Amino acid sequence: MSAVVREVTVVNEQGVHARPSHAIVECASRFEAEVALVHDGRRADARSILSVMTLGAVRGASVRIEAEGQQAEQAAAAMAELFVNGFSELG
Amino acid sequence: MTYTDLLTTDSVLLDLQAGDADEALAKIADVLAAQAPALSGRRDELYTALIERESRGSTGQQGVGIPHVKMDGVDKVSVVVAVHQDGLDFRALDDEPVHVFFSVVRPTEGAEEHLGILRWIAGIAGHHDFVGFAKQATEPSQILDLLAELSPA
Repeated sequence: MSAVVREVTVVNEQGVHARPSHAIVECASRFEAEVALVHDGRRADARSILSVMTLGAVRGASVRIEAEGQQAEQAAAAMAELFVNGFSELG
Repeated sequence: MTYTDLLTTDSVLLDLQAGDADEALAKIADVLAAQAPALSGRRDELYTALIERESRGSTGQQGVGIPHVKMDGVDKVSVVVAVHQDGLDFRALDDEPVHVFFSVVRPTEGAEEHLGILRWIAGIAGHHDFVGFAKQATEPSQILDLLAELSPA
């Protein structure tokens, strides 16, 4: 099965810090899919808070979402939406 | 990259006695305040900052919590490791109790170094035997040895 890939940009002011990291892990955990975030050559397991927190994706950073599994499409779409909406944070 | 030099036996709190997460952070704040002159007398400030950080999303998962904060007037990173034998509800993402706390205080500058330190901790915490080994430690020096052993090369 090939991975579903989405390219997104971090748009919120604070980047992928505490709250967004949480939102990412919660989102990834909702689906029957393995989701990875790739940024600057670094790969984070989207279900691991430690992994996501240390991705170092600041505002303006490009992040590649890679999802595999039964619900890969849904997982990638939901994850992309989080980024596009700036994790619902102002700025 | 390894950051084991950031810790001494005085940075290790074995057998953390706390009934809940708030009490654990209070005791960790006590130990953090003793780590550097710049943190001396700032125990309450540390405690408040740790509570505030965790309120923005728990750093707990896989039995490990990493409450980390930045503080004004601090010129170097301090790290405290605390081990709770029974485990505490830390609102972890996997709902599992947290047994080992890595608490990091950093200067307001130096985000890159901080990221490196968190990655170092994540590498250790991701090791499936880490929590089990940490709970077996009977001397602070054994925790330091464990960190050194599990540090990525």
